[in-house]
Amino acid sequence: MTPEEKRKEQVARQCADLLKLATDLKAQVDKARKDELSVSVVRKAAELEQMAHKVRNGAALSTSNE
Amino acid sequence: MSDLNSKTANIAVISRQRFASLLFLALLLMVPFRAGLPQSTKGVVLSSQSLVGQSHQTLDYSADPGSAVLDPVMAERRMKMLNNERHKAILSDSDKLLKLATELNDEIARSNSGALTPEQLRKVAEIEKLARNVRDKMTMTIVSPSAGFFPVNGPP
Repeated sequence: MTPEEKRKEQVARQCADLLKLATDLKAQVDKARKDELSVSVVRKAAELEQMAHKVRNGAALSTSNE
Repeated sequence: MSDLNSKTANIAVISRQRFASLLFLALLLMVPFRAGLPQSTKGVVLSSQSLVGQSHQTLDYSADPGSAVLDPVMAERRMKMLNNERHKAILSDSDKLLKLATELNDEIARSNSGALTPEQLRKVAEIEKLARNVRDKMTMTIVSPSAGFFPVNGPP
């Protein structure tokens, strides 16, 4: 597998993770009552934020390497 | 003998006088303490007066539309309204997040390159920002005073 293919697979996997986390977050938000603090929503949102940050950083690194 | 009796009588008179003077001194000393009592009572009265004044002020504030926050009923209503708005914002943000993530995933699946385009990078940045917004809004849960305290800072 070439580095380009590896990179493509990695990006595809990360984006699939982003989509999964966003779907989970939406489900948790729909479940949460409006006058309560949902810890699961907070956790999912933090995971999603970290994952998006990782994708952005990875993309920036691959751009600088090219 | 009678001399002795008169001396004893004198001593008794003197000791009675001393006792009387000591009693008088003690009473004199107690005057400030007794004077303090009405002051403290006065203080209680004053504080109750101030409480009355405070309740009167609250009524005044409730009459003023600008300071409706102090009225418990209005505060409760305001908190419910803020909670509704917050919940709507969280729902809207999570919808946008899902939409962006779906679009990004479709674009990546269609593309042949391993690098992200500037538009895709913008979407990832937007996802990050929206996720942070959802987290922040969820940790800022507004709870009415009657419901008691609630952790507002979220998990450590």
